[in-house]
Amino acid sequence: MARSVHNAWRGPAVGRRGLLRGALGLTLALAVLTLAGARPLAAQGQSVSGMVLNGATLRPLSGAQVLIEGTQRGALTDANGRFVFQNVTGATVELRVIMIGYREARVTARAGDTAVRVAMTESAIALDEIVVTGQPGGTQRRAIGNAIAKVDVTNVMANSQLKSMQELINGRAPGVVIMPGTGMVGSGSVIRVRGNSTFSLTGEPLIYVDGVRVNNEQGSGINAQAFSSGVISRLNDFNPNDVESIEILKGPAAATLYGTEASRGVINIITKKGAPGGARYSLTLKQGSNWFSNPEGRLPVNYWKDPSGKVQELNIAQREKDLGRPLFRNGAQQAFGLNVQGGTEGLRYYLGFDLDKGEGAERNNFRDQVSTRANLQILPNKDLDISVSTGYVTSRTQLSCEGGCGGTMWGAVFSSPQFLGENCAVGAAYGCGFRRGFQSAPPERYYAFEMLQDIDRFTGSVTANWRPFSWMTHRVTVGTDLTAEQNEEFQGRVDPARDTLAFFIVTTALGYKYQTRRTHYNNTFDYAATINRDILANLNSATALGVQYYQQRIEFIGVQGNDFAAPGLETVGAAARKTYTSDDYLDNNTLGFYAQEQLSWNDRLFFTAAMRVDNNSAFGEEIKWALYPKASVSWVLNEEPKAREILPDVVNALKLRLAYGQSGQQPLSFSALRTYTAITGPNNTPGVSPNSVGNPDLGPERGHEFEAGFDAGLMDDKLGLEFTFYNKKTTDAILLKPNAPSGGFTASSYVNAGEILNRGFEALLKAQLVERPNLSWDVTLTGATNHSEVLKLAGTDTTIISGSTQHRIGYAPRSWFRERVVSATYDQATNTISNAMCDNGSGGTVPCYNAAGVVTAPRIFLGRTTPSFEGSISTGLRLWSRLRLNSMLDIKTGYKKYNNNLRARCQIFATCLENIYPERYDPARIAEVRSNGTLVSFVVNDASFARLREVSLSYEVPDKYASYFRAKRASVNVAARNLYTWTSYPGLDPENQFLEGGNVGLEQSNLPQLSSFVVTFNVSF
Amino acid sequence: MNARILKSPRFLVGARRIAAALVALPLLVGCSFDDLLEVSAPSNLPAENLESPAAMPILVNGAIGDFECALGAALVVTAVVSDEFGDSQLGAAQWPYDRRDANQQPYSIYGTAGCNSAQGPGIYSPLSTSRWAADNALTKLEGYTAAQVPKRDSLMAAAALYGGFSLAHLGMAMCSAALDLGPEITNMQLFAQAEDRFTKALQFATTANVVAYKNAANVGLARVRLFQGNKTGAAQAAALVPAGFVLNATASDSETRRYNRVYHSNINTRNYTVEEPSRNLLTEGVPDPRTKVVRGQNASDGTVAWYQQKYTAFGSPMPVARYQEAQLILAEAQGGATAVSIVNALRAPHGLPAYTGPTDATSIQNLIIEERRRELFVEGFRLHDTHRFKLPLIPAPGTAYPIKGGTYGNTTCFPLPDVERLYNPTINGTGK
Repeated sequence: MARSVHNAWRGPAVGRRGLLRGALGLTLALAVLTLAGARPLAAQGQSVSGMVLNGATLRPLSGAQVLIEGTQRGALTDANGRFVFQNVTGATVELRVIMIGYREARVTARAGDTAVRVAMTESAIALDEIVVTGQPGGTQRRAIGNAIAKVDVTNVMANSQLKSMQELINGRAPGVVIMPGTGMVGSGSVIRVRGNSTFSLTGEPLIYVDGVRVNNEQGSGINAQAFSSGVISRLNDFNPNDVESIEILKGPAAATLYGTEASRGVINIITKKGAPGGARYSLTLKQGSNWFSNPEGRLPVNYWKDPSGKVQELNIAQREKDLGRPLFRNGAQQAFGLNVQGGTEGLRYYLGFDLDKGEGAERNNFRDQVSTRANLQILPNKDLDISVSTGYVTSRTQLSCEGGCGGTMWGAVFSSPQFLGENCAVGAAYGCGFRRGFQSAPPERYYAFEMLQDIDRFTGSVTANWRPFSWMTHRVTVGTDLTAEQNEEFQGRVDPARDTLAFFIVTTALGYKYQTRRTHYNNTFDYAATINRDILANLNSATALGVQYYQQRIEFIGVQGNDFAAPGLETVGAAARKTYTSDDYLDNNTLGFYAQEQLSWNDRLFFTAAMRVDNNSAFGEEIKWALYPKASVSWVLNEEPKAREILPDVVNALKLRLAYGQSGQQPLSFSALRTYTAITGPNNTPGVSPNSVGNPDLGPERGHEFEAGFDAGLMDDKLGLEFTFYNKKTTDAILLKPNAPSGGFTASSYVNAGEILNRGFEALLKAQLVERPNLSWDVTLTGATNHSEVLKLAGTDTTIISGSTQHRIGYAPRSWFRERVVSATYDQATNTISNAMCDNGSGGTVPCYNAAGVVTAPRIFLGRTTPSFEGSISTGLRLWSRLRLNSMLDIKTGYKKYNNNLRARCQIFATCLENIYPERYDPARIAEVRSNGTLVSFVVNDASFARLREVSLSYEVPDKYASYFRAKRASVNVAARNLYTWTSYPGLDPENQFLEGGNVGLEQSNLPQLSSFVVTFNVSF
Repeated sequence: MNARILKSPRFLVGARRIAAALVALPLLVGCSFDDLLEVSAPSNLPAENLESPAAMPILVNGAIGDFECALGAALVVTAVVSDEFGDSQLGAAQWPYDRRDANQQPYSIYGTAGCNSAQGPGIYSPLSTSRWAADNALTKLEGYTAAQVPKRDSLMAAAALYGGFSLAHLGMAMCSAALDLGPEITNMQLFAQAEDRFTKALQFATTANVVAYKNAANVGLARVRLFQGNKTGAAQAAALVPAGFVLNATASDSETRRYNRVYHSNINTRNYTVEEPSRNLLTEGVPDPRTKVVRGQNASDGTVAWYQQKYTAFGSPMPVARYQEAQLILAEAQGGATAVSIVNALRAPHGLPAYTGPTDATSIQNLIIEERRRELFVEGFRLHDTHRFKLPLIPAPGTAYPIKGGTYGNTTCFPLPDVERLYNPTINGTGK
């Protein structure tokens, strides 16, 4: 039976080997105390003292056992990782250091040496590690039959000093793909776990913080990219400095106990807790910068053939730079953090405060955030422990326009020599005198425009674990997550007579303000009872029953006012016209019950079976309850005596695992109902208009997942390998299907439309290549493949079209499908294209157009919109015990981006070289360029890339210098991000895209991922 | 478990604790699951709540509101596709209108966008919605008695009337369409359906004695009979429309959906400009005030929009049916001297000279075409007139489309859009 962590009085749960080590440690600790008390009896000698630290992070380790070889003497390191031996005899001593989760370390120390530093290496595989996510209670990893990705945030932050939660996850959890869309400060990413398993619902995983479900919206805020695409992710509200670890369940096999809504996976954020001991303060200061790397070499050069026939070109980034007006700035990054933790056996605390200020490369882009956290653990007696977790965040984010919104990127990407002042005389270009070559307007037009989001967010929970008997545990978690979000678009009045900006602003030159306030509530009630029994001497049972109730409410109020009477008026109330009001709320509740039985044989073979039943307020009338079963097997093979005889010695740990499970994803509230919406009728009288056609048969999507894999520790844990195969089938996949307008209800409606398969492999390899006291080198490789395929579509449909993407049987959902010209004839004399022939989809060709000029060639598969492979290569090099170099290469391949920059330049603005010198190009490409925008396969480009995502150097300041500040320790970290990218993608950045709306996967004048450089000082007292 | 343990105080305390926990769970479960899952939709009305006589006025009001919004969109879209308006902005989704190649792009926004869509106005969906809403109200009203629904005949007249005008505008814009998820039908069949609605509207309006609806129904009848080639019937109906009659669609600056869409897109946002062939047209050599335009605010920079002067505010009403249209229908139906007389009478209030040209049939037809172009400027007729009279397209198809790439097409009516072809179960053959 896996041991529970509920009883903090019992200390951390340990496995078979851990138990022995724990007992040994306790014995040694007692011995130390005994020996300390018997000091007069010891021979007089010198002392040896020092620090034990994690070699991967250079952070101190508390609770490590330090033994003097050949003696009975030992010590436990304190909260600062320090140990001391008084009265050591002999010139040198051999120190042996052991700790659960780490490989044994040995050093030789001189008697009298008070600055011994012992760097420990983490075990490549940790079967005794406690996992809390997806289990009724905390459970050892050995007992869990499914893969769980765990990010040790404390360790990662020690090296990489990352700014956001999504940066933390990226490249560290195989199968979890983080896809950003813009380099704007404050923007977030799309997250996909094990592929895209829905047609139309959100693909975002659930997010929990300390057991409480929280707002997981991404794409929030003002639609800075336009076309219904916001860019702010709520996940990034949480401060990485307050997080201990992140556990990720990747799919239904693991997430069954989360029920409806969990089929996209679950991200559980576990915040830091206090530990017994005196108050320990940690102060962090950061200074740095981020920048758009090489805009002069990356923004497109645009061309124009003037009326005289002369071809002019414009590199607007270079031109503006040469004129002393660089388009982008180096954005300052600053942060200050202070936390304190400590406590007693009965009361432990963690208090954190962080102030982050970040500027973007765009001159008006910034984000300021203050985060606070107070966590308490109260242990009134050995039967009860109570954890209180509270966090409050307040932030202001100012976004820049990009994508379809305009902005510097829009103006620059689609610039043209036609709009230069010197060309006003020869080309009658609209406003060219003011535009300086920019499309639409110069950057200052957009900097006169505010797009703000203010956030106040509280996340709090209380979890009580009560053990009335040694064999029974009750756990109750009650919590809430409240996000108060205020979004604002503001354009002050511009005096048309005096301000040239008025020329560009036109519609809103008199000013306007649009303001929305959204309040997002998530309430969680979660109860579980677990009964542990010994059925036989070697057969244990853990039976769990649970109930969960989730409430979600989103309240919305929005107003807009247009036309201010004079500059300085800035409120909606002061506007002459009130043009928009909205007041609404949306509720969604889920009630679920589950039962789970886990049997363990000799603490090495585990069988788990569970059933969850759910109902949700969005289910249709014909859908009452949804059942989700789960079963898994975990077998720690290396502890099986007979298997041990067979296994080669190189294998020191091996766990096989097998799991099957189901979970769901509910549709949006009221999507099952046929509804009308209120409108204003003639002469402002009330009326109603058909809104949603409804679907009483609408049920949840259901994910069915099978996974198998193993965790192996090799070569005395120098090498760790986690490997998983998964096969996930989503049935009743929900599609937002358009309705034929003739039926009156024109809004698209949700239908259970088909089946989607996601299948792949995930691997994580950790290798300790070199391990010496003064040198270590470790490498971590992650990789995940994803084969995604639509298996079935509703009725006889085989194809659902959405822009240039389609859901088509046999292909990944939402893949790129467009007609592709394979040949054409170009006549240079007449500068005409004819005989355009298209790929017929089966190896041949077909005329692209019919006689009426309508494109009739079939759309063919051009590629996936999401990567089919993602992986990372991370490596760390430790020199001595004070210096460490880390780096991460992030890799994503097997997908394509729609390069709308190229399409618009070639097919709309006619500023690409294909427009100027068609004879230099393949006529097939020119046939597409000249197709009135109906043929676009040439802009669907491979976006595979490898990016040097992180490079960092950490240095632990010698104690004697740290002591100048009365500090116990001090460190300096220098970290850089996004320094180089390898890609054949011809667009601006392979990670650029719209994050929301119908244009996901499409790049259009988005700001690329910024490079950054940050220096961090950390001092502990 | 032995007896000693059972009697121990610790066990009793534990047993009480278990009992409390076991009681708590059923209590939670015991409060009805429905209560825990019940949520409300404060801004949406379940359809079942509208199944009562009391709901009929708001259903009819809604249908009129839908039509008024759809009409504004239709005026803009048909103006841009025809030679009334041109595009002057960067919303690429709308270029197929101005480039007249929307007929080659059945997936473009004419089929999917709403009447006040940020992408640009649609035409098929808004008119389909207002048509359905009107027919739905009419059907429901037919199921109630006059005793159950106050002013039932008046409401039925309104529902039939606005259903008729929705169908008429659908027929004027679309080459084909569908109704109630039925088969694809031609624009002539749409006009026939419209005639049916106008006939009903006339009957109910007569019973209810709502004069405005009677007159509007006659204008509608005249219009769709003319388009179907029934000149006699058209003339009969048109002749019944009294001088000075007009039924307007209302507009307001209070919310975007209620904007006068022509003013909004032409003068306010400057997305569309009055195209050169329609600016300050001359009538008998005299500037015709009916197509007067004003140059946009940034004229000194050589650009911009030309502003029409028929709709000069967000709240400017838009004609749904009026005497002048009826007279022009009468002129077209009867031709000859009657036509000239009618045209001259229409010109007089604007101080325009009388017609002095030839009076052969072709000349009269051209006179009617040009008079309709001026009198009914931006009222939704020019595109269909271009279609039915096969007027030359300016610029000619194949001409380069300036600045934004491509060449002009030959759209004079929109084909059935993909959104109908793919998702109408009758048309796509899936039956679902």
